[in-house]
Amino acid sequence: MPDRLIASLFAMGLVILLASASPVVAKPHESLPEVDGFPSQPIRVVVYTSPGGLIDVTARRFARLAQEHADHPFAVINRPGGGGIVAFEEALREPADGHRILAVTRSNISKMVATGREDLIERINWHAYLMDNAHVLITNAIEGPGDWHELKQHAQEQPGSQLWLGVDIGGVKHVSGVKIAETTGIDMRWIPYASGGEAVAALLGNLGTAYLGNPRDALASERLRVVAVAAENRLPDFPDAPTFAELGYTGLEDELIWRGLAFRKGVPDEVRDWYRVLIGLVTSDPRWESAWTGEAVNLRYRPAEEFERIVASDREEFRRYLGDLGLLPEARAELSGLAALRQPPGVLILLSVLVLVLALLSWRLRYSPWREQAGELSLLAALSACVIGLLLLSTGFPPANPVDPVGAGGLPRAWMLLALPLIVVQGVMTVRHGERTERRAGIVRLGVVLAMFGAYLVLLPVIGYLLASAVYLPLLIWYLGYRRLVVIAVLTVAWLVFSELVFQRLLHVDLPRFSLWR
Amino acid sequence: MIDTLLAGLGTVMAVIPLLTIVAGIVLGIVIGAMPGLSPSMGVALMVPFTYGMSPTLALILLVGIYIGSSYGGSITGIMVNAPGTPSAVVTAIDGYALTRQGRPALALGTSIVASAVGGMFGTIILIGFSVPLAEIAVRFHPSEYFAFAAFGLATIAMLAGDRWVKALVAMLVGLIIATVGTDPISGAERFTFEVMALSDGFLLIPALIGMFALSEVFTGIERGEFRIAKATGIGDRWPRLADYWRLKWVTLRSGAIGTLIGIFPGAGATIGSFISYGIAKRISRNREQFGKGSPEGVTAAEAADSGSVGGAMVPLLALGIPGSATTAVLIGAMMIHDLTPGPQLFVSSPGMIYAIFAAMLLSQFVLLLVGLAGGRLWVRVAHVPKELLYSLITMMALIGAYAVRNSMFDVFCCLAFGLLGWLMRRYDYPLAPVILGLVLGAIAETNFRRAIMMDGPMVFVSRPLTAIMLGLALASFLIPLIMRLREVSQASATTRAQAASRH
Repeated sequence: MPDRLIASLFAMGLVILLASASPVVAKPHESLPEVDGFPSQPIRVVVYTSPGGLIDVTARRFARLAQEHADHPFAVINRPGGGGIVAFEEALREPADGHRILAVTRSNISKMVATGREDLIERINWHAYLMDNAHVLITNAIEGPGDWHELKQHAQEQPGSQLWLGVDIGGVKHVSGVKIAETTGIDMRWIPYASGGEAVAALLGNLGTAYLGNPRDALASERLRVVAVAAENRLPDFPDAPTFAELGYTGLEDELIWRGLAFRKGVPDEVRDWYRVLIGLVTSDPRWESAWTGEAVNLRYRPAEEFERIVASDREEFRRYLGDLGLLPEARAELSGLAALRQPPGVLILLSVLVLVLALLSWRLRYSPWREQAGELSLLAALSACVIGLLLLSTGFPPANPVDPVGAGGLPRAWMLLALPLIVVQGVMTVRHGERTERRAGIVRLGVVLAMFGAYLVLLPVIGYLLASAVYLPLLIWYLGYRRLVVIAVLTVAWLVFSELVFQRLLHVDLPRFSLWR
Repeated sequence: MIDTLLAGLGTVMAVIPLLTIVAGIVLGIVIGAMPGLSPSMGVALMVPFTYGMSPTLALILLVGIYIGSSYGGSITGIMVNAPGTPSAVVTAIDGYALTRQGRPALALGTSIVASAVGGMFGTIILIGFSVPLAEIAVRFHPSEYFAFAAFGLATIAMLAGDRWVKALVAMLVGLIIATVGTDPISGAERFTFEVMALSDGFLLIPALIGMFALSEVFTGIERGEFRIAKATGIGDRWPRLADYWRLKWVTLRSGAIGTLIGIFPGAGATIGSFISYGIAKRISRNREQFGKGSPEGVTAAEAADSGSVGGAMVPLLALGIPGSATTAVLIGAMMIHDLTPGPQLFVSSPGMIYAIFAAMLLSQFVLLLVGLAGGRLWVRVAHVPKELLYSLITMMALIGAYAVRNSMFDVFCCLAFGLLGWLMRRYDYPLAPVILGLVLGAIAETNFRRAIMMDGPMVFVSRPLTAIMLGLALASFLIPLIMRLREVSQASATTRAQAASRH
């Protein structure tokens, strides 16, 4: 018994030590201004996309040099979702102490305007504009138009036949594409691909007339040619490609995608000054410039005030163009006759009604000839109810149109209309040939485990991952019937140490913390 | 080319490169086996550790991690039915069935060799034919991509067995779930209920963890299955050379399928694994064993999965275009090391390219050795008391779902998928079709609509390749169902005849 007691005490001690371990305050680098208590933990550079891609590369190149100049660890973490909204919301939940810096692009502005989340633009401090890429029109010069004039001639000879390949609808490139097409009088169809790489591959396969994107995409093959540049001057890396102004079209001198850094608002001024100096050190480092050589990137640092003005101007422009394209949330809401049901209160009411109806059905089935199949029939009823609900909601999707004849609701409705008769067929088969459902005594045990798991999930954000897990894990093992205390204690401690070291420290997963130390 | 390859082999046959390969493979296997960490996340996590390395060594390490993690995902799939990657779902179908029979060593041994041979096949194709294959791949119209996805979905007929209506319902549930999120074509939000975390749809990793790992735990707890599975008289043993030799054709064929499908940007390993499994089942003489613990099933899925790594590297090296999420990260890593991915690398740095090719070949041998040695350890998981194992799986499920983007929402999604999976198991609905629908739904929809936007609905019959592939998909869907229906009607006719003769 004493060894069990010692093991348990040791386990508890280690857990408390881990839970209360105070972060070490780093010594600031000599050339940076001294800020009391900052930085006191690794600095996270948050990228709103999955790993790979130019903003990820920008963040990683920046973090690499910033780490050296600040003599402090910088970690790049990816928080994809909602075109940046997930990353921004997460940053806003964190303390405004400057330990989290967002890697941002112009796409964030278009996404926030398109989703009606412009509040996020206002709650962010747009700190440093680092660089931009002009948008360019690229063609497959061997099998398609070899230059702008051929492209234009093709558009005149076969109006409406040009397919411009690009990425997301309502995104920066799409808006630029629409502007370019309008200005140059070309009637094009925008074909969105999941990524620039896939669109470039399709252009190489001669599946479209042109690709609108980043100049560096033209480096994929000698067959690709930049036929026009939406910038004020020709690009040094593509000296033969004319600008739209040279081709006689004005108003297309500033079609670009910028990349920069931002914080949530509320970060102290002295911390922002610290970053200003650090960013100055990084951007003046010769390695920063050489890293971008040959990438057709325009490195031009712009401070916060100027960056804020650019963001405000972009926001206005996106509102205008997305409004014209019918891609603003207000325009979409008008399409739906069931808008209330698409919002959380409507969903809750719908779900409550569904649960009630299913409970009644399940209860009724238990007193029917099909009581042995009551569980499966209830599952099928729940599935069909969900499918019918979603089918009704899909009537609010943008309708099919000549450009997209299938429409946003086409395939979801097709899947649902296929699913409904199959569910009915399965229901009939269950009633006719259904095997007797095994009555398992373990259902109560499972209910208790689920209740414990639910309580654990509720407790996690309140008392933190380590303490909640230190209670939940041994309790669960014990409840499931394992009785060797020493093993339980050692396993609990080992798991907590593993998750703290591997997930929290190495992989920078921000496990919920006990909030006392903040 | 042979000379350059031999020179590349000379470069990697030194202590530091060899150690780098070993480190990459070991790290990759661990990353792949950890729920919540996909191969792309694993490679991205290791990029900062390569800053101090030469570009060649850095890429050798990262490619090693890619190869290792593609295999690692199948270990947890086989041992605890918690596939680490979507493509490992197919490996888990027969792999976990073998583990439940008390034969995990057979499953692990089969999978590691299939993985290494499939990977080797993919690498050889990459070295020998990358440029012409990439040229063919880029000419594929969205209608052909749709046909690929349809072909993948048609494998449902092979996965279904006797429960084909249930399997179809499960697949349609997956397809419907795949429509949640921002519509890739119109940009409209679909079924997101104004929850921003749903704007990109349900994330695959929490869904995968919930559907397989949590539902397994819930089912085990409900059934009171706390005793360790014992061998069922057959006995657990590592496969012998003769066993591997018997699987030679399925290994090579599946490696080829995985490699070819991996070449197409965006198609991915999952389609390859499902299609390869479907074809293997159709051709096999022991098709009734599929789904119940067939080494052929494990081989088909795993060889295709690993073959796709070499395939995905084809567009990366030949065109500088990512063929998968992981190769997108590799492109980023190349740029960080001041390399411009694409065909010019063959001109500017041929030594480096062929050193990477040589490292990929060597990595397969290292994978084999590390996998076989590590397999002895993994097998012991089967002897861990289930009370401990179930508890640890719930902890890993939680942290794995949370780690994807630090979100409790994903943990709740994982739990919801766990409950759905448990209900499906309870009433004997297969789970793999849900993941099939979830993975292929988006590919099928976007390419279907894109094809029509580009060339109208007649494109599906006017392009011969599309028409042939769709015809094959339809045939591979219908033939097993018709055969099954015929068997059922024959069986009932026999029963009726017997009943009549008794009267």
